[in-house]
Amino acid sequence: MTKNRNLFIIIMIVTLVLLFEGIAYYILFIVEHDRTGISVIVYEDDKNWADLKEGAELAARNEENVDINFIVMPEATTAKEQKKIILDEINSGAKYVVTTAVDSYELSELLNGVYESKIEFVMNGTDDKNYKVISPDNYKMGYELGRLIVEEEGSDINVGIISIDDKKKSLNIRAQGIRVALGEANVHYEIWNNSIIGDDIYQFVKNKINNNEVDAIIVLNESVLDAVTAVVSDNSIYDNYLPVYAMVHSEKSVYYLDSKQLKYLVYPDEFGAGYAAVTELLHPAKIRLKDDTIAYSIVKRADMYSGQYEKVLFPFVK
Amino acid sequence: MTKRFEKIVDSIKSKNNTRSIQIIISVSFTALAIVSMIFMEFATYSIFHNNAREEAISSNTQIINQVSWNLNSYIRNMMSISDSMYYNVIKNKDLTRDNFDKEMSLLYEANKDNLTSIACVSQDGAVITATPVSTRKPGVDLKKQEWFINAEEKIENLHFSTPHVQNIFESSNYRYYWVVSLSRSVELTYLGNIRRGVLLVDMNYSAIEQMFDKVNEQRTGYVYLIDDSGEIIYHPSQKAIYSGLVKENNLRAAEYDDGDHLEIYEGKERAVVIKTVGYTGWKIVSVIPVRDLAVNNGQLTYITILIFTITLLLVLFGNLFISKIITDPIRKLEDSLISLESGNLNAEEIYLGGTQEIRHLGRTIKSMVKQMRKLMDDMVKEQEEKTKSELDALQSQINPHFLYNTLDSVVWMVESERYQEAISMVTSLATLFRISLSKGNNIITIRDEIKHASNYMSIQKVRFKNKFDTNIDIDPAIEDCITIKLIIQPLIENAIYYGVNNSDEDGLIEVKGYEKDGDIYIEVSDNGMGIPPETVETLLTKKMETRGKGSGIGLWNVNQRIALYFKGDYGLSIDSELDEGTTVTIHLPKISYEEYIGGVTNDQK
Repeated sequence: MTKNRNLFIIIMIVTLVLLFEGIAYYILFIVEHDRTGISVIVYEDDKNWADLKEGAELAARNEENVDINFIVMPEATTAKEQKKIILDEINSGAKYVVTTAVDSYELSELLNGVYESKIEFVMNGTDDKNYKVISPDNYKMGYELGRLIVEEEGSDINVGIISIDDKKKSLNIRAQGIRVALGEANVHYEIWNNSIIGDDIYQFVKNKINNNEVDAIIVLNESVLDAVTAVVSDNSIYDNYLPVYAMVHSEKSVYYLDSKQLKYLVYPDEFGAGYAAVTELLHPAKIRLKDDTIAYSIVKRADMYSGQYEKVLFPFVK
Repeated sequence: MTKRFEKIVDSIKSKNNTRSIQIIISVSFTALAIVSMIFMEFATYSIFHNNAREEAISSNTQIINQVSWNLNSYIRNMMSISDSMYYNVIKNKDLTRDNFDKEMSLLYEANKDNLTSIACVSQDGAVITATPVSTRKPGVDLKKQEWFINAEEKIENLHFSTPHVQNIFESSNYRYYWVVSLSRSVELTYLGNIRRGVLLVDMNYSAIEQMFDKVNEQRTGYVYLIDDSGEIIYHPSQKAIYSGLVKENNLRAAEYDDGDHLEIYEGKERAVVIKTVGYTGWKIVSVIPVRDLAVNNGQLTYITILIFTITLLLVLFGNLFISKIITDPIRKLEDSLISLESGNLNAEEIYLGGTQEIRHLGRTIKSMVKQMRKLMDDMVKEQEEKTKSELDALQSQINPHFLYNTLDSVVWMVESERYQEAISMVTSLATLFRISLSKGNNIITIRDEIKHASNYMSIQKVRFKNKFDTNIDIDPAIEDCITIKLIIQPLIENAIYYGVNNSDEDGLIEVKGYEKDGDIYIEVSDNGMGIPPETVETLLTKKMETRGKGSGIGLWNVNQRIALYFKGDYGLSIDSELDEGTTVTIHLPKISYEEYIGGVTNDQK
């Protein structure tokens, strides 16, 4: 009787050990591990968001079992529509969503803190501090640009700051930094927003130049860059042009800098933002962001082909 | 604390003292097997792991060689374009009357997949010819560009630049090209006069990039390209490195010679393979984090653990089984010895089994036990015989008072001329002595024993002047059965002296013999004073001293003799009631004298 019991115990132990190891082997090597889905929602303008997307893609490629999915939204997307896109992605199985807020303030109210651990904003966040935002130090960037203008142009000038989108908190903070820097140097400046500019920005800027009401222009929106550079090109010759300073990230802005239509370009590292946004979600400790912000470069025409800046300004052609 | 430690040590010592051979064999062999297995597993795993690493490095070396070959052929191709352009075209043209737009264009078209542009620039930085045709950027001084400076500094060499954005021509659609510039100083002919210029072949960087991207797909680790100073030409995480989000050990890699190296970078061990590309001094660097190799070896690790576990279980249970087979006979033999220790000298219960050695040990112990048993039996028998002899001798002694009184009675009878009574008494006495002697035999028939008792009673009746009557009733069927001699006479003696002698009434002593349940019972009863119960309890259990009368031989003696001769439940029992009388019953086995004689004869034989 005792013999049978001992035999039974031995067989049970051996069976359990082998079963356990079999299950472990199956889980470790046979079963496919859950993949982490990350949805990156950006504007449909592929050229301007290429760097950010490439950064996010590289970060995902450097990780195991991560699927990255890019969703585009039209320029005219409202906060309500963006919220729907975000929630649709999460409900469709995306573990995380990385996006840029189309309207920092309205989206903040609409989201009302939901999925705060799943949603991460890049470049432009909401007014809700519970959501993580990967962006440059917008205030510092604005402030440094303001100080640069004072250094380059002196303080006895009139500066026009074109900021036509007050729905984006990042732009408002940048503008605030510029205003503080200019204010400290007693530089006269004007904020030109939609209500002041009206429908025809080209004509508005042209009038300002022709009336000698402006000595330098700061552009904070990529969408007005074509019009502003066109006015400057039409009214200047290369060696005597109205200095335009831009704080945007786009292929065009680089071209305008190269073709002397911009004097300085403040260029945030959107590749780094995309890379950091994805890595931050997967391994927060792995990212080494200085002061929790991504880098930016203040580039003048003469330096844009230097080893330091050309790698930032010119994306690698795939 | 010290006491507690001492307790633990004592406990371990105590356990060690009681550990069995099976445990020792199992634990020792298992421990030995585990140590051996661990060593073997480590050695095997280490060999496999190193082989896997070597194979991974070897595979990477092959890949690197392939990349190097591709890159070399790409570079040679670019150099041959430059050579062809220079030696076949430029050198044969006088630029005052010829141009080489067409030849340059043809060369470009034939290689445009890998080329961005070809240009020939004069020593003062003017573009003489370029293809594809583009507008030169205003305000760009070509003489300050690195490729131009290098060509001018070392006019005999071909110069490869690091990747850079081409900054010569206007970009169309905001498009800029990353190129690797191949520049050389060339001699330009103007009316027979030689002037220096620079021939520039801008290689499309994306061709290099694609070459490496393809290699970096689906492989462990990654491959990157650096120039001789360590500056990165290609890296799969190039932009992340430029953004400061990823770091690379490229400066150290530039110092490595070709071959494989092990390095620790940012706390991670990495296997690095280096291959230098000809003409350029560039280095192809393959990096394999050792941890990734380990991950790839995960299955090997797991299978090693699996085999280890299964082998361990087999060894463990195998050892238990084998040790059980070895130690079971020893344990059974030990059980036999424990039984022996407790007094069981039955040699047949000694275990004989197991291996030859254990069987031999068992046989030896069995033989020893048999000898012991025989010795002990002999000793017991000897002791019994001795006791029997002593008791028999004691029993055979004739009370001198009885003899004196009997002879005195005979004298008195002769003196009073009662010759017939005197003759009868002397005859009884003679018979008494004859039976007492019985030729030295202790075993006699019941008939003789009764005759002996009867003579004794006859003599005593005369002596006690017929103070009591006697009655003997013996079943004739038991008369030829055996008894020990002189066992009834002491009982009659006690009945006379302690029973009827002190009684005022007429005494009666009865002797009754019969068979019951296959045994023989002889009762000697009197109607005397009886014996107190407390005395009855002790009469048979301890040797009683005579109370001054009788032969001095107690009931104990008779009882002991019967027990010694017949064993078992045979002996005396006493039933007495005060003032009523006493009955002493002799219980004997029923053995005929013929049977007894036959048995004795056989024993003697």
